[in-house]
Amino acid sequence: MAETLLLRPDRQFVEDIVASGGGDLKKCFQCATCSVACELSTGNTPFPRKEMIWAQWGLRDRLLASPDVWLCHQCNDCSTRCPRGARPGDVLAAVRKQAVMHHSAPRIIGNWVNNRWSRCFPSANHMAHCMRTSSPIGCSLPSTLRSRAWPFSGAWLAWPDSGWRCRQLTLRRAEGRCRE
Amino acid sequence: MSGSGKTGKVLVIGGGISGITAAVEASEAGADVVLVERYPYLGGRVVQLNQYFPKMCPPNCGLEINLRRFKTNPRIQCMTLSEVESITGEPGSYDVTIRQRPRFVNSKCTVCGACVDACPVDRPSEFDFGIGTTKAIYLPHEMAYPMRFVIDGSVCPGEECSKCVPACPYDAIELGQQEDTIELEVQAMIWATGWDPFDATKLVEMGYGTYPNVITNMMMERLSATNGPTGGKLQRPSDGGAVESIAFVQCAGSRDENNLKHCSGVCCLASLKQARYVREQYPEAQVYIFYIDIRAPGRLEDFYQATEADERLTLIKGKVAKITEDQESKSLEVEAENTLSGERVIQKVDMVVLATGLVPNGCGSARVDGGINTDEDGFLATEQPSDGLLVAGCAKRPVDVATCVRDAAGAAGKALHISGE
Amino acid sequence: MDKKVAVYICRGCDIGDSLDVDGLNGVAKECEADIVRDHECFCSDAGVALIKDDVKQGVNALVVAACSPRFMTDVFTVDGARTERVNLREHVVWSHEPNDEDTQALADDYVRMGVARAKKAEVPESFNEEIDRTILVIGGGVTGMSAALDAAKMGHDVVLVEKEAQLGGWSAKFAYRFPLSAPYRELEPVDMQPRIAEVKGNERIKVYTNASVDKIDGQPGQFDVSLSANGSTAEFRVGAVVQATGWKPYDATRLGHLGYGSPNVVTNVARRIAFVQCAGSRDKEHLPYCSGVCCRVTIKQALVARQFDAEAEAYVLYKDMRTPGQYEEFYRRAQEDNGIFFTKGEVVGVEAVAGDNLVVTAENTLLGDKIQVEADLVVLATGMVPNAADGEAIRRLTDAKAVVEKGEAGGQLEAAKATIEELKDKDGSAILNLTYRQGPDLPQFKYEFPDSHFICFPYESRRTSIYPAGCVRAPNDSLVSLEDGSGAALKAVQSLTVASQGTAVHPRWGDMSFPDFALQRCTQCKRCTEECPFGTINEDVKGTPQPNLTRCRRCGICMGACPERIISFKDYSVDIISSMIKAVEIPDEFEEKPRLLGLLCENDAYPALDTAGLKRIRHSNQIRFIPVRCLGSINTVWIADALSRGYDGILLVGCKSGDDYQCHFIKGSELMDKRSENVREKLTQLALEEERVRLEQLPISDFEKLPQIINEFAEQIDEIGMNPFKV
Repeated sequence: MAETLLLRPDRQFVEDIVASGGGDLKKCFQCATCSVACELSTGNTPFPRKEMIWAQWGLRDRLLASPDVWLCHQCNDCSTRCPRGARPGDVLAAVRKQAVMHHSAPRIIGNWVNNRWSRCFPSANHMAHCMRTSSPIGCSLPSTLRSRAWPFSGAWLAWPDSGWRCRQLTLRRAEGRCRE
Repeated sequence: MSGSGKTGKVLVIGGGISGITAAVEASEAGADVVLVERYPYLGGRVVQLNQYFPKMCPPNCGLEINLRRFKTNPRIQCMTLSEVESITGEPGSYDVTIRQRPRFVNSKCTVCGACVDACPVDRPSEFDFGIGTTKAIYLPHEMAYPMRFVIDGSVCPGEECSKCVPACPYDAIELGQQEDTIELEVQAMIWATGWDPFDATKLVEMGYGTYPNVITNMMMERLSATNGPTGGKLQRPSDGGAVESIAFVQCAGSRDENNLKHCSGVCCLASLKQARYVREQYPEAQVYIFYIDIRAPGRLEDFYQATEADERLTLIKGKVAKITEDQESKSLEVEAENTLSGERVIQKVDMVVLATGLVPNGCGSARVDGGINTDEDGFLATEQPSDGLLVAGCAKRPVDVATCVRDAAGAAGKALHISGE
Repeated sequence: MDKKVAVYICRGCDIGDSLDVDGLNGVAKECEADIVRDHECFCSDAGVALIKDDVKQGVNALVVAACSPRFMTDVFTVDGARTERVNLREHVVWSHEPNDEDTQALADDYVRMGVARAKKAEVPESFNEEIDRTILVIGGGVTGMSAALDAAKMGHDVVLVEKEAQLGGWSAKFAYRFPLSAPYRELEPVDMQPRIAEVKGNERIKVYTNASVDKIDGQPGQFDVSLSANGSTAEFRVGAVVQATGWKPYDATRLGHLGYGSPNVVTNVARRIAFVQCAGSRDKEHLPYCSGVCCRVTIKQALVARQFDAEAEAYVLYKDMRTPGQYEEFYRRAQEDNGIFFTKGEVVGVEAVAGDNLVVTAENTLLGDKIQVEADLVVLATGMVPNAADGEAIRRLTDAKAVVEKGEAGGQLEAAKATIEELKDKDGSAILNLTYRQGPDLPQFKYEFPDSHFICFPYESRRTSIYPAGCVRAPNDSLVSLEDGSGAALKAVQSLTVASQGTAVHPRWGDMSFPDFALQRCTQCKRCTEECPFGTINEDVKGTPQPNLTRCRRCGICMGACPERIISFKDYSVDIISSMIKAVEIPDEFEEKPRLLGLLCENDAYPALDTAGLKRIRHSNQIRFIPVRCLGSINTVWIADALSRGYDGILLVGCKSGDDYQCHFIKGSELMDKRSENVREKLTQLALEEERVRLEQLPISDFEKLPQIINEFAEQIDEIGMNPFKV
């Protein structure tokens, strides 16, 4: 048995996530459709199902330390398929916003990043564009932030073919739309 | 001390387990009953089932008793192939118009079966969900009531063919029968219109309709039934092969905002029951049930516990979100996250059963003055506006047979308010 | 009335092509039928007209040799005559080689058997009892009030008995309930007062509060009730009873492992509230079943807590969230609340820590760890236990006490003392106080719920005209209880309608026959009073049976039980079936044609054989079948008769017994199983092989298996050889 976790739900954190775009967070009933739907989810640590319940219970520290939330490129497959309308993609985006706020010192930088980010991030196509043009979003962060927001940039750096994969996804999705 | 014993006429719409029960219960309490059924036989969905949970007993056992009560009761009038077209009036006095489609076979039919050999037209059997075929003239099933053949007018060429007519020694076939409209006056009515299986083709990721070895739970019932298209032998649809491993996908369409928002209430137990079908025929088979919550209320929990104790049954808490097929072998891979271990599960199986849910049948296209409502899931409104307009069984809520029967008796009681005073 | 027997042999449906109908006519004439006719199709208008003409001419015993009695039932039912059906179609021509000597012999025998029965069976005439139509409803909660109002609106007087001072039951104690109608999202305030006022204001309903039932004596339509209420007593007559005695919470003092007894652990009623679901439910050590409502009750309570305190938090630790049907929406509603937190988990402990804090520990959660939550209050969602009494256990206790009082000696005394010790907590637990030989309350089926066929016929208790409803029958929510009260009221009203017509209730609705006891030959063996599954028969002090006809379901189990053969129905008796058995022509030993007798349950095995015929599945032509009302109605004398007559083997096919019994009369097939042990012993005494009598249990759907069973049995008898007692 793993170590015992003492839960002290941080309701402010839940409300912050709700306020920053994860408004449907609480609807999740943990079926894990999202974990299967997610192309980036891996065998031993599927996500974002567990991130959803951590967020529901307001486990702030755990989420802010989680590298997985930075894997998401917001393709929104999980949100489309979610049977409960909990929109995991949006929740993860909200968690990332909170993380940026948390890791930024001073806070103004966090706000700046979030603002800039929100301009480019909600659209998967835009993200894919960033990647195709070899301008990983992380590189546009100030170096101070880059070091503190390691999981963010690190995830991309540690995954050499992420740009290619993302393109594939985009293409496939485009084809899907054509078929429809 | 009391009891006026006066009775009146009650219309029961739907001849499934709820409608049959409402009809016999009301008539045995002294009411005259007219029962209207859209199919050419009574029994609705339950006659398509192989067994009931939790007793693993055949539905025809209870139906035999109920239909005997039906056959010997002169107070019940039964109209098959019929649908209610319109209703006007108010509790205590309704005018009802019923449209009856032609059966093309009259009451002289003795089910001798001579017509079947003469009929040149095949059709997919809707009773078996298209797994097998019947001739255009067919007996709905071996224990059907009315025990009479019927012609599927949508495929029968009619009088230009007429091969069955001389084949029948009893002058039972009337190809010229026309649709009929019947006007009725009733005092109370009970909507027991039941449910239809959810259309699994809507679940694109599950491959139903594309992968031959992905079937629905209702098809599974037919594949397991002695009177089904395989004589009760459970086999893979693609090649008739053995089923050494099988996965049940719970909440296939149910508890899903993109499909059916409601929980269909019975699918967990249906899958546990079907797991037993598999294990009985294939002692070595591995069974996997992927679920969100196992819902086994009341003493049905016993059935869940007893089934779960089977060491070849694995329950995985996590919804199946993807099924892929091996093109060569037609075997399948189902994919889910086991939410309790936090690991991805990719399970290879011979066959997949989608535990599709119950779609309420509502009141069809009938016009009902003075209104019966549907809730946002499409079930007829449970708030009973009067003692003359009642709803019973799965038309109201997705429930098991026992609950339908109980509910139908209650509705029959309320229908008698009108006539009892 | 003199019997005038007419035999009608149908030539339709392959019968004429497969059998020598003239030969059959000859057989019927040999049997001394007054009229013998054949026709190409007796179910046609012309055929029916022939039959009706004969009835007009005074024929009163019809033998229709055509299809199964399950088909064309109404066509061959003619007023003024009794119809005996001989199944030449499904059981002969559709299941045997056509134009074959042995098939013909089979048909000949069936005609002989049909005529034999027609000669002896009489048209039953119903009894005529004075039926009181008042309904007694015990329990004034949601279910009881619903039953009372419905029965009253159906035109019946009602007596409603409530043990507490007020009507309303549990619901009157709740401020809110979960929603009972669409859209199934928001809490509903509970106000039982209008309902209570409606009950009190209904002129047909008489209410007794602070009341308990002292005695219910008699039988359906004629129950004499004594009750105590507010210190005085009342006596009156009712016709039928609805038992809506509700539920009690599971005893939480047994949940010490979940911290019950700690000051802040309460059941289902601070700021941080942890809800422990399935506390003592779905648990082999406690209540093995699920109470079905606790998940929704917890959601309700969490929402109430949140409604009153915006800072409140509710943690719900569940095994499975069970919010069936449209109640899925209620679950979603609760999830949307930011102060309510859900996870699956197995709660392994609740501990008090510093101050007033409690810590709940759970394993196997969705959070991926063993978790702990701190709470100010822990609510154990305990299940529902029916407020029912175990009639059979109380009866055993009473009998044991009688043995001790009498001062019986030896082993009997020891056994009685052991029973008293075992059942001591049943002392004084009776609720209905019925004066039935088999006990003062309904027999229980499982987990103290007093039903019987809970899938197809959920109201059926094992006592006619006494219907359990609401949470005493199964754990229910208040909506279901409301509906359940209506259903039970209908069943109660219906049972009285049926009794006033002198016919049977379900499952032999419409049957006018009833058991007649030739008591002058009774030896007071008490087998009938013991074996009746429905408690029909009481005993006087000597042990002579005292039948109560409106309690009877007409299964014939008493007839099967009676060693003196003194119990008979007008159209079903030991003698009638014996004469059918004897009507068969048994080939002599040298012909090497064994003859087998098959006794089939008419509800399941007989229809299964019909279906096999419809499918043209063949079975051995050596066997002759007789349908029986229930295997429990088989008197072992028939087996003895058959063997002494020269039958080589006897096959009995009935329904499943045991926990998941399918027998419509509950105990019939189980009782036959016990009797067949005695039969086997007797066979051994007679130096006959015990395999000559075989008992099989078969569901109605196994129509392919039944011919196999028959054929295997025939082969086995072939191997064993001929019955040495053949004449």
